[in-house]
Amino acid sequence: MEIGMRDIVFLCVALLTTIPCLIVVFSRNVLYSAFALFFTFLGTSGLYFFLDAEFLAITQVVVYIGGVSVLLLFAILLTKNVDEIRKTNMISGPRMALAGAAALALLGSFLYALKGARWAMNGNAAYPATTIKGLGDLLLSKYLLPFEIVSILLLAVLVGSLVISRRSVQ
Amino acid sequence: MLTSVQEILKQLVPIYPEFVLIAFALSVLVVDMFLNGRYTHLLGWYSLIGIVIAASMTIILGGVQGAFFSGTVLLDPFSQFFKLVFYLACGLGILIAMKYLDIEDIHRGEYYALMLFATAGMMLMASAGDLITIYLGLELMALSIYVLAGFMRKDSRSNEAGIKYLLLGAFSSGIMLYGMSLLYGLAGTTNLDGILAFLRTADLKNPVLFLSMVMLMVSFGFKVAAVPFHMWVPDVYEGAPTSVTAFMSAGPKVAGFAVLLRVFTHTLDPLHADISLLLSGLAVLTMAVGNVMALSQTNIKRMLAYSSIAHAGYALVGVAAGGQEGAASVMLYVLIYAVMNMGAFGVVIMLRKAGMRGEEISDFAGLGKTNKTAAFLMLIFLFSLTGIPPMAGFVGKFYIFKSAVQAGMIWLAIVGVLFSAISAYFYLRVIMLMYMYDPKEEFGLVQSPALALALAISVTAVIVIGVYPTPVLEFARASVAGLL
Amino acid sequence: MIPLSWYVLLSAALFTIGVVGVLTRRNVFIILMSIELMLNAANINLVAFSHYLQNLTGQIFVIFVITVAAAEAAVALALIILLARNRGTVYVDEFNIMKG
Repeated sequence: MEIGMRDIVFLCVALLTTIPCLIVVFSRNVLYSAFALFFTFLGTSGLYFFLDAEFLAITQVVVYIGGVSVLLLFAILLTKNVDEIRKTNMISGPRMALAGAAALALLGSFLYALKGARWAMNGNAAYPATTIKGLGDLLLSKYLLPFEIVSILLLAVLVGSLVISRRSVQ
Repeated sequence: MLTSVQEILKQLVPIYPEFVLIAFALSVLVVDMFLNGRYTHLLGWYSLIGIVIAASMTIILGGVQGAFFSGTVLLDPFSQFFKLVFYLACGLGILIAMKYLDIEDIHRGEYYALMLFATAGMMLMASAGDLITIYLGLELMALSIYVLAGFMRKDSRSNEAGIKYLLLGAFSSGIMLYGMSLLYGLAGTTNLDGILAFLRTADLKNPVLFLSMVMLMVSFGFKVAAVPFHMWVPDVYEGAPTSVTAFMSAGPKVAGFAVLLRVFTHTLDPLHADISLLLSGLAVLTMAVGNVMALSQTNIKRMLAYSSIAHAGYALVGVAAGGQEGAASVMLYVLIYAVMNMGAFGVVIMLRKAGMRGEEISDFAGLGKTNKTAAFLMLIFLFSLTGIPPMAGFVGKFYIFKSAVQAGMIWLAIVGVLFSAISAYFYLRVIMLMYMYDPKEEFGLVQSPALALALAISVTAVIVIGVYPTPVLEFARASVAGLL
Repeated sequence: MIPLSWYVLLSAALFTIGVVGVLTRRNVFIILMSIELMLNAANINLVAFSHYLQNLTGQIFVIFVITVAAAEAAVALALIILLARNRGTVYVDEFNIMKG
């Protein structure tokens, strides 16, 4: 099997996704974790480009990097514990062992299950070359109701987060 | 112009009940702005009107069946049964909340709006015909309830309950999504009927299929608070405002069972043997931990939290038994559970007043002497939770265990009966405290017409279903017929 | 053409790392970020399947997941800030008014 340019780029993007992931979870500094999360999201966006999902790739950048990550950073800086960020915050003892066992079991079952996996695959002639138009059509036809549910959900969240975070009326 | 509006309204018919609830929620928000903090309890009654209208619409739509909106929403007797349970839970939740919110000084219109949003989410979960709808309905419900759990902004126990519930819920959603993504990869569709059609022809030995099924089971285990996924549930139940705890222990749990039944006894039915085995293990664990941990609690909300975990275990026995009888018994059980649990919380809420939290079990000492009615109501609810005839709780457990025996899982039924015998200890302890001890101090109970109405509804339901369960059972059986 | 199994393996790795984060860390922010990783893993799966199936449903699902994840983060951060204000900690284990 020859290794083409595409494979090398894919590998880079994959590494860009997974290595920061490890930093997110194992870093002792919350700020490092938050910045590493940026890169994971960026890497994921790159993967979406590989999969011809341009719209999602852009959305990923806008919503996750521009929204969620920045929000996270703000929240981290707003909470007072910034100076004790370096405080070790791993859980020790039995819980760690339990988590390790769970992780190994999970990874093992993944590897076992994926080894012989047969996915549904087919070439669909009607699949559009650029997905944006197709997505728009689907959102306003087949998935109209979920689309409306999401709008209600966002409203509920807006009201909810205002209720809990606004200062007292008095 | 007019005809197009009519056309649109016609297409909306299958989701009119949800539509009405959301419209009422939105108008609550608007009206609340003009009321400016006064007469907020009127908004509670207003929301109740919305629930009654939605309920009557659901009943009127009883004859309409089928898949709507490209199969994303299903209308069938199964979903209608659950919707009626949700109306009941939400209505009782609002009734018992009105006075309590005043006492806690958190009486705001948004509370009712969020309750209605959550109920709409549950209804969408029950009638979902697509993994996407299940996910979105679940999140609409869950996000509203996270906020409700943290509604007492100044009380850090409530904040803590909110954030813990959120972390738990988001974690389980992550697992669920991963399971769903695998299922999509295997079946090539997110439509539940499409997945069923795929499974009928597929090779069921596929390990990925098994993995995705286990992930879905784990995530719904979280949603219905089954052991070992119950970690923070007692904390959340204790910290959240009592009215929210009552709603939380009924609504989302019942909605979890609705999805559990739909996905595991309908969509994943070809995998029944594996599912049944895993679920019966889960049920035994849940009954054991819930009942045993409840024994040592001193806080009534925590005790009821563990008791609600245990009750999820009994209901899981029915899901594990599967088949028409199993599903019908679960439906009957969750209805009864919702009513009796809300009733018990309604009595607990009466003890909360300014200057007294009324959450310790010892606060019930002597209640039988100071307030006979409240004590008697609590007695009925606790008897029902224990499963003592002629209360509804007995009927529920009876049909659950009967379905297990019919499915050839006699051992599971025996284990269930043993654990419900253990549960008698901690329920009856409260009753003993109420009737055998003297009150620590004189205290009056908080009373309000809304609370009285809620208690009257639930006590009537508990006794009527307990004495004459046939119509409800027949309704549940008829509802389940279309599912399988 | 990159084989589908690479994507699935990558997402499995991401998911596992996320689960480990949720189970081992006790800083609320890190738990939240780990949960985002899990959602991301599911999204990668969905998009990859969508591409190989030539079926857009997976991408639609991802749009919804992204929206909901952002909403969830908003509520979570509102609650965390409130808690930090009232209690002065962002460590789950130090939420110690209730335990057992």
